[in-house]
Amino acid sequence: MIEFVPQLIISGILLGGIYALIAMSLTLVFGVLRVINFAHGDFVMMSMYLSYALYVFLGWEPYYSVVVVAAIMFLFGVISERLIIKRTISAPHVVQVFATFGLAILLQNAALLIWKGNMRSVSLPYADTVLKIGKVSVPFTSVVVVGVVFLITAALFVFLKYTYPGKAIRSTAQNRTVAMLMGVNVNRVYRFTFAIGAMLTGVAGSLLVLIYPVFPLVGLNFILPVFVIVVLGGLGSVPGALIASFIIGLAETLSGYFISPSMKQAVIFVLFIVILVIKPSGLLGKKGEEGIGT
Amino acid sequence: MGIKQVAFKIKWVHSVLLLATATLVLGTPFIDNPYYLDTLITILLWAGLAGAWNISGGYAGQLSLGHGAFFGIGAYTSTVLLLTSDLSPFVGMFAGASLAMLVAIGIGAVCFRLKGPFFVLATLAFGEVAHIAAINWRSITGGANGLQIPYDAGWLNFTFLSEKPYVYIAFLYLIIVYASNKYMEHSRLGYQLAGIREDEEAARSLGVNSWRAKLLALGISAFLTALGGTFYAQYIQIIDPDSTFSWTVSIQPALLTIVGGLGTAAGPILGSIIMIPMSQVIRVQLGGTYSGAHLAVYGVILIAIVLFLPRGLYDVVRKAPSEVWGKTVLRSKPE
Amino acid sequence: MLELQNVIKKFGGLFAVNDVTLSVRRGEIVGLMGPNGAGKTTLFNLLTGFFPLNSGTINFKKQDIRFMSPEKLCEKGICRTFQIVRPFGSITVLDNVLIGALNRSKQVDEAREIANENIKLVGLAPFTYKEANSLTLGYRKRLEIARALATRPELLLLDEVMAGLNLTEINEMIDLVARIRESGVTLFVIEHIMEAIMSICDRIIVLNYGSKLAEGKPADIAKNSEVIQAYLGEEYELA
Repeated sequence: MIEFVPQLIISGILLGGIYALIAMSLTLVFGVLRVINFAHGDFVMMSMYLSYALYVFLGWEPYYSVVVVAAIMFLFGVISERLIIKRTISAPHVVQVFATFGLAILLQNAALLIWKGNMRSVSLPYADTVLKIGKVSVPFTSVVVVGVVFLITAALFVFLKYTYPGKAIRSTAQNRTVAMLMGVNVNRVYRFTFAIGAMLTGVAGSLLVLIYPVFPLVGLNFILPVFVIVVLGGLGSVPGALIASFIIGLAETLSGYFISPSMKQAVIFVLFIVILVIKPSGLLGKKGEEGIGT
Repeated sequence: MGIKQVAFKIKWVHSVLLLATATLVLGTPFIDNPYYLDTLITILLWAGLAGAWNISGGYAGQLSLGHGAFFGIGAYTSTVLLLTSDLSPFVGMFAGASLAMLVAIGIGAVCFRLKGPFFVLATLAFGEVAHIAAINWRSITGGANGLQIPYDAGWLNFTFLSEKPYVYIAFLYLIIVYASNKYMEHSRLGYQLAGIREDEEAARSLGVNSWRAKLLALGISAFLTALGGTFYAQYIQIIDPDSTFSWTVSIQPALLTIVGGLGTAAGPILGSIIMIPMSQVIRVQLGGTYSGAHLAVYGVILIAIVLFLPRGLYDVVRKAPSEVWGKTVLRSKPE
Repeated sequence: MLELQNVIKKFGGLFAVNDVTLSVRRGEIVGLMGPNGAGKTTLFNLLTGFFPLNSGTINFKKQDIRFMSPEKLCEKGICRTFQIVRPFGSITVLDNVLIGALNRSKQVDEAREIANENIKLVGLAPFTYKEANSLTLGYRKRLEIARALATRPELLLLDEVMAGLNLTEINEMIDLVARIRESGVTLFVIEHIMEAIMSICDRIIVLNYGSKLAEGKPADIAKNSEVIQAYLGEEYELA
């Protein structure tokens, strides 16, 4: 039993990396727009299909086409923000929740109509290699994910801290009224941030299509643990989401082994409920954030 | 509230809807098309479930997406009691509803401290936990294969050969739910919930015990939803976790209510009358090759309604007479 | 009726309310004054169960009310209005006040009667069936008062009801406050507008930086040099 622990830990960390890729963009968008995008997981699904399509029809490998997918998703983010998200920002909760929920349902079923329900995957010989460190197997694709996660974190950090757009985003997240008074075009910040969030899901999708098969409802597999992560890490806190991703990744792998594979989802949800009861503001979140709708 | 006063409060739209529904139901003895009857039953059942959801989602403003848990509890409790103790589903129905109510109070106690989307997320989590529990608790629920309701026709067994008795029972269910909605609008609890919806802190400073009010609303909502669950079990005669605890069951009542008119008694009914036949038509026309089309349409409609008509179609219908009247009156004025 | 002893409320390191001792006797109209940020609204929040206090005692009608919830306090007889009005926007004026009345009366019809009485008292009768959102600020403030009155309070806390009103409205409000006192309600009032607070209050308490600066009759307070200094730079609002 014990000899499996190192493998479980490594797998847990790698899984955490995958979740982090998705969670960071969700929490960034929430921190600035105060909107929870229920369709976030389906954005990932969409990117996975895009990446798949580019490979199957044009022969472009995901690790290269990621730039294109990211660009397309950035555009998609701008369009959805303009059409839908913008109208939910200061609206009652019903609007916010069900507009993005409706978008999720739409995307899932559009994918079903276009691609049918079969699972599709991209498999590349070099990507399928598994590295072995001692007794522990480490898939190459997962290592890439973790590497990209750290790259993105570093890039986001530099961007948010040192560039003007980054500062504009941070100030809007802290206090949109004051930001407006300081001359920040808040509407543009919203659009840009949402588009960045979408772009990051594009990156996630391109990397993930080499790890998981894609099917219309695949977004659901990601989004539920990711919601837990975002709350655990503290809504709006990107570093919090990063830390929480690894915690949840580990929790999932360990409970999958020590309790049972079918129960690991339940464990995550129970954890979610426990967090909500004990500390709804999460690890690094501000108190009261969980009560915020606008 | 006297009957007379309640009657005066029923506006013309309600009268039309109720009349239409009643006609359909009364026409039932003369119709034998099982497909038609099945659609009617589906509409009535979902209108009832939507109305039940509306009590906590519309009147109390607590948007729960975990109501599938209550539906499932209702369906499974009566069925398990039937299978193990030979208890009539009519009695088991109330056992299930009471259990659902207790569970609802537990969920509310945990989740009510959260606002807006976070409450939604939490209820989603609870719904999923219930779903997973139903799949894994094989000893009670029969696991993923589900349970079969024995076919033994008779009123005591809540099982019938033809669809017609089901139509009448579903209609009765709808009436009960509609009455509950109406009660919400004119009762002390209803007014308090309206205050909570608008501004919970201000309401509390006026003496409204928001905790109790919200729990009561969620409890009633769960109770009514569970009743629908039992009906479903007795009608379809086989239940499994995916058809009862799934999130389709959680989302559909919310969707129907929002499209029809959140927080109104007629809204859920209006939503069901429009959306259910529409999705049936789409499924039949496009189903085979284009499965998922009706859901895609649901998605688009949901987005459109929520962004442009947040009060639902009922709002349009309600204003219509005065606008039409205004136009005819104006037109008859001499230029 | 209301007794505060050595009440302290801290936010982090900041003493919002610093060792305040005061009392309000039944039937009085007591004013609470002080520059912005002096801790007046925080004090009200402590009295109405919105924040817990750090130390000290608060007794209402000889009962310890420190840990009671807002709704419980309303039941006990303390009600408040908010500095920034919080009407139940999308429902009618009548329904707004009705919700307050439901605190005392369990029957909707009876509560509606009480609501109508209070609407008449504050002069909002013409607007009874109008949506609360359609009211101008002055009327919204009255709605806030009517709502609070409908709960049949023994002690009514008014938080800057005159702010943002014009001369005529202020005078009408002063009359209203007098009528409320006549109906038997004790009043504790936060106000910035000097003329108003001087004319209606029996007694005034002045806070500065969370501590009690002065207490006494309006005439004395007006002459108190410390009070004047605290307000230095602020023009007296002779309105």
